[in-house]
Amino acid sequence: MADRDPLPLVPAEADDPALVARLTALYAATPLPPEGQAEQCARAVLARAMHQPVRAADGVPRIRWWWGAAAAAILVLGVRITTTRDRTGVPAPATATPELAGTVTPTRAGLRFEIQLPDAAQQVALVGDFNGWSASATPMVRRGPQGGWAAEIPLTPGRHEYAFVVDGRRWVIDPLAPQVPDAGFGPSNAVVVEGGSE
Amino acid sequence: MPAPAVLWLVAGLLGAPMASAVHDTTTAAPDAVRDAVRDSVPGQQPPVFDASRFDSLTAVGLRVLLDSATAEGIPTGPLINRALEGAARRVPGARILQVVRAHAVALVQAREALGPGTPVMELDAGATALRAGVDSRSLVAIRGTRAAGAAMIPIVVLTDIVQRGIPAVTARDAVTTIARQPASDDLLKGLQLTVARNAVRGPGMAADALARYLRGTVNGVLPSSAPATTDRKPIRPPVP
Amino acid sequence: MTDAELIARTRAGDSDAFGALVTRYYPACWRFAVHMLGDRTDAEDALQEAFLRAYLAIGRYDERDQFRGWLFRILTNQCRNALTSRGRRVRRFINDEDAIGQAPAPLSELFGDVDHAALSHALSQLDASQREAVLLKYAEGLEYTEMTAMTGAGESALKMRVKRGIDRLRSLLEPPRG
Repeated sequence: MADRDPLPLVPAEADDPALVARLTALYAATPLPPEGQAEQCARAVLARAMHQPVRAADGVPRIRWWWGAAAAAILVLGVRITTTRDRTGVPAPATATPELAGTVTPTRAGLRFEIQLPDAAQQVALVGDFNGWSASATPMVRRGPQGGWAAEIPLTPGRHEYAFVVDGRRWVIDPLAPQVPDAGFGPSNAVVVEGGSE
Repeated sequence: MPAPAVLWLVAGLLGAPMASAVHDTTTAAPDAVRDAVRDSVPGQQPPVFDASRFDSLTAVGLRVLLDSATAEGIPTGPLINRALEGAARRVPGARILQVVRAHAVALVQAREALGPGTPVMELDAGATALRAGVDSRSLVAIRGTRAAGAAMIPIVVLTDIVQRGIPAVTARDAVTTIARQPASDDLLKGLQLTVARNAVRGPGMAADALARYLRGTVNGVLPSSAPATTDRKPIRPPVP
Repeated sequence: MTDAELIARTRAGDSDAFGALVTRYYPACWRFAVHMLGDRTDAEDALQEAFLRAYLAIGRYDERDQFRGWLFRILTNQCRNALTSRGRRVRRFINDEDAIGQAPAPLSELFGDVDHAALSHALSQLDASQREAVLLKYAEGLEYTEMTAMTGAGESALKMRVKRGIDRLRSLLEPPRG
């Protein structure tokens, strides 16, 4: 309904105190957000902020990366990146560029893991809950001169967690594969193998 | 009745011979696993863990944790796996204990949300999701779409997309909407890949991609998991 | 810990401090967003966008500002963006019932009290700028001077929006005449 009155000299609140009272009552009666939603929001914000362009002049804070932090761990380590260690001895990433590309392919024998590392590495190992996370259990084999590595292992149906260890020290994960976020040790990847009696 | 997680991997390691020459099958399995093979009766007892992988204080603490987990009726396989991961990453013993304890608590909560018939690996997926900030209601909602043993992929996908910045309710609705359709595991994997690819392209890109993907699945069109615009390399943040 | 301390720590890279800030202001922001957008899912998304922008801009925040006001400025912007993009989605897929792809979670469902539900529903039928003005003035209890900073609109324009919003609410809430 168009209001053809001139601009009122009297403030609107004088017009309808009952309605105003209803508005404040409605507001007061608004249910709180669900439990944990604020914490989840903070985690999501910190995770997304990792992918923002870094503008030094802006004073965008860089997150100090310790395991108790609320930040989700989209933790991608390119081989070229130098790392710094914080007080507790856990390697902290510098900024990350997603360079590692990986695939996981079911084969007749089990599962084939292939990754592409951007830089030369001496050795790469596949580690996971299927080999006690031991870096000596499943060495990967070099595929061609372009930084490809592969390993194929039998895996029982179900969910498995895994990661890659480069040159015996540096743990890296596949940035596009499903991630198991940092719960205190650092992130890893997850894969679900089909089949079985389930 | 599925065996505990460690026995799965034992069965895997002792299982069918490798068809590919890529993996050297004579490489020794870690001691913990061999001990587990030696000491366990399949499906009857929880696996024994190898204390020599840890300093004595941590080993004692772990044994206490594993015993109380067993008393609670929680499978110890996932906890042993966590402890081994911590040892392999050369994490201080105190933190290993903290993480294993927290994971045990999460397993209890996951069992509540997912139900007592849940297989161990699915329970582990649920516990991991809870530790990642997924709420129990989401696990309950997923269980509503998938029977015991069939919920691992939805849980894994939900855990992943939430970490990439999809808001919790949006993520839950997207995953459950797809999961309740028959034969939707591939669609779920496609959702995860779409979100992963688009999350690196900027704020809000992942959420937009998810909404588009969801519209496609609801309309019966199987979407490709390619990024929204023509396929090109992800935008990389400038190195400071 | 005061806002200023949490902000300083956030700038220094303390993500727990940022988490504490979010926890502190989430309920108040939520309350505004759910009434502004009329939908809990949209509100959750808008809050995440707002806190993300706040985080990225925290280096530019001036301590002399009230943090709450600064944050609300970002939030009102995000709510306006959310309504604009919601409008685009609806227009593009006007014939496709399944297009929106998210289970709607209308706010009015949350209110057991009939009067509250009716008022909530009436609010959702206002023009966005009127609803925003009414909420900021009467629900948030802001002064017009604060509202101009937040919305970028002049004081007389805001007063007009408030008056028209109130008038429309009143007519929506009146029982239909026989």
